[in-house]
Amino acid sequence: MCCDTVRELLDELDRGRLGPFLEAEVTTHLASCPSCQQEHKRIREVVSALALMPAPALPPDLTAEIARRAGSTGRAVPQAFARTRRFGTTLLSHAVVAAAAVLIALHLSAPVDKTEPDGATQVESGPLVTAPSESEPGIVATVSGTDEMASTPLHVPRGGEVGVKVVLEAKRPVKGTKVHLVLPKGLAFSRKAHPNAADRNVLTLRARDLGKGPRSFEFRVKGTKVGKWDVLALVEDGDNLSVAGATVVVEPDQNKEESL
Amino acid sequence: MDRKDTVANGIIEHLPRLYRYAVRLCGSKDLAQDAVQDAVSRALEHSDHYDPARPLLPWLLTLVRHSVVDRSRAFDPIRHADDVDSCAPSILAQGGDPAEVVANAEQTARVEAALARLPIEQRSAVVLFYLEGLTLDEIASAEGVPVGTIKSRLHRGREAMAAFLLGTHPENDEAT
Repeated sequence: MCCDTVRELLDELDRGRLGPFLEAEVTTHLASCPSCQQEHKRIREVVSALALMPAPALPPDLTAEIARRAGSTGRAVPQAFARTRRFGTTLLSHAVVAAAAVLIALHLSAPVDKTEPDGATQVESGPLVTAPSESEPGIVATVSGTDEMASTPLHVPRGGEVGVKVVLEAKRPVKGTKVHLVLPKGLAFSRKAHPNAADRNVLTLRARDLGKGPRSFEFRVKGTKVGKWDVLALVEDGDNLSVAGATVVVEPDQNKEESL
Repeated sequence: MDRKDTVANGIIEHLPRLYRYAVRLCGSKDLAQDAVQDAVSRALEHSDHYDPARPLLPWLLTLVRHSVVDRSRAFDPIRHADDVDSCAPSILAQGGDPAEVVANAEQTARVEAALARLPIEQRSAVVLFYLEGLTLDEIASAEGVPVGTIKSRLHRGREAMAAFLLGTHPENDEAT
């Protein structure tokens, strides 16, 4: 295999996207070609440097404006949830998507005990606070972690799993809240933790009456495809909707060569 | 579900990525916010132009890039490379050794400045591939060029960034 061909495949090699035969060919060439080794090293250095760059956080006012526009298509929007092939179970109506601010809490979590009918776990602790909405305060989701220093993006090797926690806080008692966790194509719900949701893109939890104290919901997701993926949590509180997201970085398998 | 619903739902799903792409493309959060809003308006207005048989994300990225370019015509991202500092995190707020904090902030600023110095075609390819994790096919679709062109842009972008970071790029002599 010539150097030009090998160099074109180095990025895919680092992403674990080469088939076993091609990967073996490239790896064998690298072992004996100092020039291609240098090129591979340069790629990794640039990739490592780029990894230092923080991910710009989505401004809440931008999300609210976009959600308003996406919901205001000038057409009658259904109030009920619609079933779609893409999401497998439900998709929020545009009336719900016409939302307020973006907040989310993601947290590397420990296994939990109680299991909701949809397969997610529910943990209760602490007081609730509500977040502002167009009509009256709604729900606020906040970032937290076990050591209070946990931050996004989360990292998980391909095939591995990571815990995700959505923390809801309300300033006033709230009757009936739904949390829709939407996964992109590079992530899937853990089959072990959520056996009824493993083949779905959306998992919906229903929090019954919320009193004082934060309420958190924990999920486990599996990284299925290398890349950066945004997890969205849509918190529906009556006519109010909070949209929040966080990034999960699915990395190549640990036993392959190091890469971004 | 009609096309407008598909586009609207897709915009919500991909919004974080569209914003990140815009910020890294132009180096300005304010300009990126305007560009994303403009791109969303165009997407909703021209949703009938979207082919549902094709992935939505590349189309949305194309609209964002066009909006950034349109708004950047009077804004030279190379001369205004210092604007990338507005994207740097408040590392001091996270605690840690001050010397290390300053070093990390400086390193981040250098990387962002190196990225900002790339021609927009190379910058777009580097951002979409290494920071957003898109595949070569997805990027080629978003940019409207062959995969081979994307590979070439990635290669030249990497070379230029490496040279900028090592201080060996000729333009380093003109750095402010």
